[in-house]
Amino acid sequence: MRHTTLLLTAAAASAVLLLGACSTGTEATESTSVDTILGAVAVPDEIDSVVVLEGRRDLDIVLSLGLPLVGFPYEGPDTVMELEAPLAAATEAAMADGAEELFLSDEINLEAIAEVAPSIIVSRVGDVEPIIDELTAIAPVIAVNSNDGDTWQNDLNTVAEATGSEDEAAEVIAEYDARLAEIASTYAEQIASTTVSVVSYESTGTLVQSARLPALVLEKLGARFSVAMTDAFDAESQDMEYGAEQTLAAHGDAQAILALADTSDEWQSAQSDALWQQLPAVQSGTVVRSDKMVNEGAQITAMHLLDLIEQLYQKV
Amino acid sequence: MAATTTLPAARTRDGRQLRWLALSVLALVASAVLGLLVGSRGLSPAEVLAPLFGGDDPEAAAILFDLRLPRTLVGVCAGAALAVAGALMQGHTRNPLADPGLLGVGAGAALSVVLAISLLGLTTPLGYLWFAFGGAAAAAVVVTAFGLLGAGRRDSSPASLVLAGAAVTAFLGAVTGVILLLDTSTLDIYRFWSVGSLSGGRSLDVLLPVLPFVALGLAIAFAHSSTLDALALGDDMARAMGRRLGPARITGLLAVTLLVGGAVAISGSIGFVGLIVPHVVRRITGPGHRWLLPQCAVLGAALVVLADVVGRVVVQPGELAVGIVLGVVGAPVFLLLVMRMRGARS
Repeated sequence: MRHTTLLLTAAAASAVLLLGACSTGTEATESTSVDTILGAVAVPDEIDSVVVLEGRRDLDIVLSLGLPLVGFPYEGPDTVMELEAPLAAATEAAMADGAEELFLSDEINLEAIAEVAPSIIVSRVGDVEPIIDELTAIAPVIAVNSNDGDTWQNDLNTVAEATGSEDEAAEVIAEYDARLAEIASTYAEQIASTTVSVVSYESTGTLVQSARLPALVLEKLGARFSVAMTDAFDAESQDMEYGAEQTLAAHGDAQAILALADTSDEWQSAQSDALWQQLPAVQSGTVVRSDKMVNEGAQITAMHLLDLIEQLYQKV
Repeated sequence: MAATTTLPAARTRDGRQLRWLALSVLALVASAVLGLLVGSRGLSPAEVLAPLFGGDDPEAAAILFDLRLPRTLVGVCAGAALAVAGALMQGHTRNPLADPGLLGVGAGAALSVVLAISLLGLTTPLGYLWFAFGGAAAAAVVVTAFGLLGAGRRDSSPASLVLAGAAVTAFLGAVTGVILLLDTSTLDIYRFWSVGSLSGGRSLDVLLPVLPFVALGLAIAFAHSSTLDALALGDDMARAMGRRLGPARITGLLAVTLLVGGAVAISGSIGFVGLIVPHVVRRITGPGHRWLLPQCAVLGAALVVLADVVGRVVVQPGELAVGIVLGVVGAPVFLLLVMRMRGARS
């Protein structure tokens, strides 16, 4: 019994010393103070490893800036999304470089994060705020404001400033701006003359959202929106939900539709939905399909969206 | 002398019950007509019905034939099945708070649907139709087996069945919960199924394969009504009246499985119908199951269709699933019934 007690005491002392050594190591690293939504954060000058918690805009920002991603969340053992995600190629490249799926999306695992000992943690403010003390004990936290109205460009610049990647940020934003300007110029006539809508299709009905990335990118292009889209921009919730019976009445004025359907079954259901098939945009073939994965993101997702929007205006 | 006074009284009682049943059928017809005429798309009755008389408005035709007609028929089928299953459960367990969920049927269907979504990638009601039905049947078989074993005798007591049902429901719910925790994409799809709805791909293709099972369940239930009346007097009295309790319980559970399995397969998990409708109907018919069961079938169907109509208009231009409407309305109504029951006893 006494031997066991001694062993336990020795093990505990070793753990404390080990933690102390780690702590000393971190403190010894040079750091810079950066202003974030949650106040000033001391960020190490050398960023060896980054963990993201949400897996959408935060992941897009880290991948866009080419930061050393070591951990991110995953959706589940087998996602039912039919189309390849906009971030799929960049995420696979990061995994080839050693990035790991650390925990289920929305199930943040602090132990898994601590195990990879990141230099910084990046995520949206809503995810980090409730556990900021626990996260800060692991690594400095750069909170971004996704889904709460701030643009992806602002969030990208915040992370770039914290990680010394300002040049990379300027480069990817310029790349996006150039592509946006190219599409605006090439399809100026179609953009000005075509009423467009972004419609999420489900067998129970349709949804139009004005605060999501597709609507914001189209707005930047100067797109002419359908009544449903305009109503969504005016609505306090920034979305408009329509029952299945409303499909033709709600989207009948849209001459071009970016349709978001997540699964093959949903898209198949749209093909056999008589009201969907009666939509002028569908009958004229001016529809491009994507899914909810384009709703949130940063430069990579926005560039992917511009490709889809270009396809849409090409059909007009 | 007694016979000469009882026979006219019984005839009068049957006549009164027949009139109540006719009124209920009228209520069901009215609900079904509302189900066809009312929806989130505000078309006039003439516009909606025009396709029936050769009208060529393709939007009205699609709304009537592809949306409102199938969901009204699914509502009739699910409502009738759930209400009769509830009356059967309450009769067998002699527990007025029993509902079809006590048998673990809903939990079995839920686990099976979650496995179908997670492992096979199925995402439509037609896709997991037979998984829901099979899961419901498997759970009922397991509960019945444990109930019979737990009773320690061949006739099985209602208490052991209820306990077995509660244990199996808890176990299946836990397994379902673990799978959903590990697979958020399955959770996204499952939550739409679990809320209980008559829309979202529930066409006649979903209803027709299940219809024979529900019809068989209803036929067994109606044929079972005199046995339920005997069971209501207690097991000993039922035995004294010549009823064999083991086969009686298995027959009842078979009917419940067919009815709830069918309802869950076509409409997901709709609550409160199996609990509330038998309570309300007993106020009209009294405890006898000969009139209770058909009245439950008719009024259960009317209630679900009516709740669906409310769900179509209450949050226009969107819609509320019928399971949510019944939950919001059903919970306070049930509490009111409980308070009245308590008041009547004190």
